[in-house]
Amino acid sequence: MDSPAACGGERAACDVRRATLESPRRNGIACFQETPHAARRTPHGCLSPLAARRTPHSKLFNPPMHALILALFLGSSFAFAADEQIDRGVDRAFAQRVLATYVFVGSGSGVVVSPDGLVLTNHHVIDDLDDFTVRFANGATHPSELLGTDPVGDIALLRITGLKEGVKLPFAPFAPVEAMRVGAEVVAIGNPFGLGDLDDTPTFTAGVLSAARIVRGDYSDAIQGDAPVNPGNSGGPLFDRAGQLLGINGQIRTVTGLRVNSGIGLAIASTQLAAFMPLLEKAEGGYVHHTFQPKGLELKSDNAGVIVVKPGDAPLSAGDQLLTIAGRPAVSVDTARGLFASLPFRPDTLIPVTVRRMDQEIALNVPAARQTIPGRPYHGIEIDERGGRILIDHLDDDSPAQDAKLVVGEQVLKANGRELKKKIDWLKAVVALEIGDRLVLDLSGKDGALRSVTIRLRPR
Amino acid sequence: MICVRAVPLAGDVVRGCRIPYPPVTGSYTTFPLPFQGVWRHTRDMILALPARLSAPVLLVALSVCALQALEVPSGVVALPADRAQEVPCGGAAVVLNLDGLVVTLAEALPDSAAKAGEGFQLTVVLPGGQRRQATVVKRGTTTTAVSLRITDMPAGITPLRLGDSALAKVGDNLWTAGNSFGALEEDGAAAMSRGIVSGRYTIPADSPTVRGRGGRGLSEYRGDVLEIDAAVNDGNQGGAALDGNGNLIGLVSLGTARSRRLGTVVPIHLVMKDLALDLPVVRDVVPVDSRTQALVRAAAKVAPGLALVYLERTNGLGNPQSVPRPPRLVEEVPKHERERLQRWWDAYYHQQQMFYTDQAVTALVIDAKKGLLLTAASHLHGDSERGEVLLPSGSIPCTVLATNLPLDLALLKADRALPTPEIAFATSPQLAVGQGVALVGRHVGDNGFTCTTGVVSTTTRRTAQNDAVFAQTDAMANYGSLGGALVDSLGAVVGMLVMLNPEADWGLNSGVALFVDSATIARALPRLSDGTSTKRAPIVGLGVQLKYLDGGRPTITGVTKGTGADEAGIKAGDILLKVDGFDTTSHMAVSRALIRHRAGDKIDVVVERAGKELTLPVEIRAFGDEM
Repeated sequence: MDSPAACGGERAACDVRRATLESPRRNGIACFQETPHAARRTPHGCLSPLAARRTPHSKLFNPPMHALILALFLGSSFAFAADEQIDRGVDRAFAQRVLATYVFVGSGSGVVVSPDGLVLTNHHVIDDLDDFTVRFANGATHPSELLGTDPVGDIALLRITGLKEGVKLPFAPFAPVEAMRVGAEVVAIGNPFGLGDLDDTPTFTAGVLSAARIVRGDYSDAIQGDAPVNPGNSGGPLFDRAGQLLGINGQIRTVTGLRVNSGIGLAIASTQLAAFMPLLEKAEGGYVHHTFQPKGLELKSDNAGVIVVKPGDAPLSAGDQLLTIAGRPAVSVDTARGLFASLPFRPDTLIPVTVRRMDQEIALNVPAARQTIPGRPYHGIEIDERGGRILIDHLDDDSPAQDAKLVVGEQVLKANGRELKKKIDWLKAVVALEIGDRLVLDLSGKDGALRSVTIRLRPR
Repeated sequence: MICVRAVPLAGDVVRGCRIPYPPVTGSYTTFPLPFQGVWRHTRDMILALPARLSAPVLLVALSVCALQALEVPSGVVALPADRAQEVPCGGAAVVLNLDGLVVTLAEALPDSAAKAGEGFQLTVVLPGGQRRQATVVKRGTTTTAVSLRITDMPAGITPLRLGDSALAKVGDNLWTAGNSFGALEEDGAAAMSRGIVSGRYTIPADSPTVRGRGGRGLSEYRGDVLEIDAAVNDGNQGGAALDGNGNLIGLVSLGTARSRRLGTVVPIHLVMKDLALDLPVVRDVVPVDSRTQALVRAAAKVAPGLALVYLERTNGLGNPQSVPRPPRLVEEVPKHERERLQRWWDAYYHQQQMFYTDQAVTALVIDAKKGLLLTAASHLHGDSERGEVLLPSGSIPCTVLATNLPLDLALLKADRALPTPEIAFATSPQLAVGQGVALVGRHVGDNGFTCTTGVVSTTTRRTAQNDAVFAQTDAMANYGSLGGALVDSLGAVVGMLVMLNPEADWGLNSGVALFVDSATIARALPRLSDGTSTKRAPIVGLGVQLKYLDGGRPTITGVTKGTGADEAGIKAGDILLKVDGFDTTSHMAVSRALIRHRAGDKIDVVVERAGKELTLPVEIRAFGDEM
């Protein structure tokens, strides 16, 4: 489609690994070796000049080189101007490259994260949406389908459908954790106040990363930026200056009650996006779950840090000081709880934890619980017991059961494997189900035909 | 001092992207940037050297770091809010020496300590999450500064060094580091924001207190402040404002003058004087230069051509006394009532922010001899017709000559020639998304101009289906910036700030601000100079009226005579399917398709008539007269 942008995206993507391994070295040199402008235009376009030169350096002494190095040290105070991080403004190519990955979704925003049309946005952007049409800044509209959504972490994954064979969309590669440097320049793209609804023009704003990998309520792996973000930016991308996706903007913090930028924009970090992508892709339009702190775990803060009061189900001891959870420091009780909830839930998920116990640091793996999606689970079926048979009596309009095309009058033989003889059997089968759970019904139609239907519970 | 941790990365290939999955462990140090830059360069250099030479170079490097590097703002600590308090009002403080000397502002203290005298004990949260007790040592008299002492300072805290705040000027680079919304308590590190000193002014002694949520007074400080465009939120108060070299130039305050709504900084030299503290001040540092500074220099050159104008409100908005004040929120109010009152206060605060606009705004002097000034027409709410140009040498009466409402321009004429330089608009501004711009405004202050910087957010913003096109910036735009100049880094005046009126969807300083580019202004000026006003711009469209039935495509209910649609043979009763290739799924979709074109363009329109699809070429025209 847009070949330079797609190409740039791929190049940056391929480069992520290199960036994680080599970028400090390369960045340090790039400022001196290239004009600042060129450095900005091809943030990942060049191999490390240093790496290339290391071999000739086997000579022990090289006066001109060392004079140059000393000069560079002394000049380093002036090098800041050349550093991309403290400049206002970007070049045209960068802006176009990142704008090409932006899509309007509902009244919010989204970003293309793969050449075949995967789009990330916020759960709260698509939650009440019937029509998942996405619109690019060039006005092109595409239908899309919901692959999966994370109501707790506020991420939703769409896939653009009906793309022509061989079309590769420009996309944003995920930023590696190393790109999340506090103070680094960031760029947000969005549709603040719906201003772009009329003119297809997204809004480009710039700022710096204020805090990285923090916990804010349900945003358990978040980053904070001061690029202006307003209602309508939700679901939109936050980029670093290499065009990598640092996060998905989702919240602002204000104290006045006005829903207007305060310089505190919270985005879901690329690390969490990347971790949830595989689950979201396989969710078949349903929900994915977060991990949760072990049942019965009680924590408190004291002068030293976060202390375990009661270990509950966790293999911890009372008095342990929590140091890290899932690899991130447990600074406060709220943060510790958030960190326990920061991973995608799979039945066998273990959360790595380090604790200080009797002046010894111990690494442990804590089996994760599953976080309940808040709300009342809803299937929309009313049943009736007639002559030892459980029959569907009523189906709510616009309910999961109706979506699954159940028919009033059908007999329910089994619910999640439990044989139904009496009403109480039905209640037992559904009582413990949570939002996002499956309810598999074995049905017998009026004509005696047997079939099995899966219903996914959602909040009412 | 230096602790950069190498972070191991697990790699996994997902769709050709190598991404850190599963989530990568490791946390990030919070070095402000110059430090990171120096350290990175240093490390690279050392890595580049043969082993035998590394040690001397390391020494040189460290000395350079010591000269240049920012102290890690581990010297910013949190003062947590009282948990019982419904409205959190914690704040931050800064550590000034290893003996545990900490200074903050009274507004940063938790409520229980707000009026506390010397000897009062309160909790301090240090970076990393450790807690300590601090004792109030002294309270200032001329400022709201408070000094505290932490008795058992742990290792690893680096006190902040003082910068020379007396020399701070508009445009200086600046960072805030604080505890916004409890960031330091939750994350173990201060949250950072970047900006510049956007203004210098004095909060008058008789100035009413600016209030926040729940009617809480935000600051009792009255005196000289530096206004900044970096993020300032609840929790930043008492925290650090650092210059580009990482030296402390002041304590962040939530107090502002009524007419200004950006965060402020109480200069550190005033705090030191008030608390009778004598600490070394870092002078003679190399100022950090950047493209931002190029913008600021350009802004300073343009500033003399800006005037401050006050227009009389003959009716309507502008009188803060006309807004009814909600009853006080007191403890005895029952919970449900509290929530209602809370909302009322929020609305009241909102109104104060948005409607208290009986103030002067900026105007650009475009012809000093004739006394012509250009400003934003949205400032004329309240049917203003006359006012005054406020100059340092005195005021000159002025009248509104003409307005162009679609572009939000108003031409003013002063009664006599203006003793100021003129603004020269760039004839062909080369605006591009992402380009850096400075927004320059006038305000009553010691050197009288304000400057915020940002980037161009877009250049093709439309607010209606007409040919009025705006550009947009994320520079913080205060009400007083209305009519202010947008300047690029080469010093060209590329536009004027408009549309920041109380009815706009976006708020002041929301990071959304529209401006008219200089070429558009140049096209509109002749008509304005003739004294001809424009109330409405011609609609650019096909010339059909549409009616949408449920979920379907729109039916054409009427065709205006003499328009493109009429001449192309479109008839009432046709169903509109496509406009210029775009499906007509909504009114907005049709508008979107049309405003991509100018009057005179021909586009394909697909209609359904009697079950058959017809493709008709229609010329887009501008209709509905300019008036």
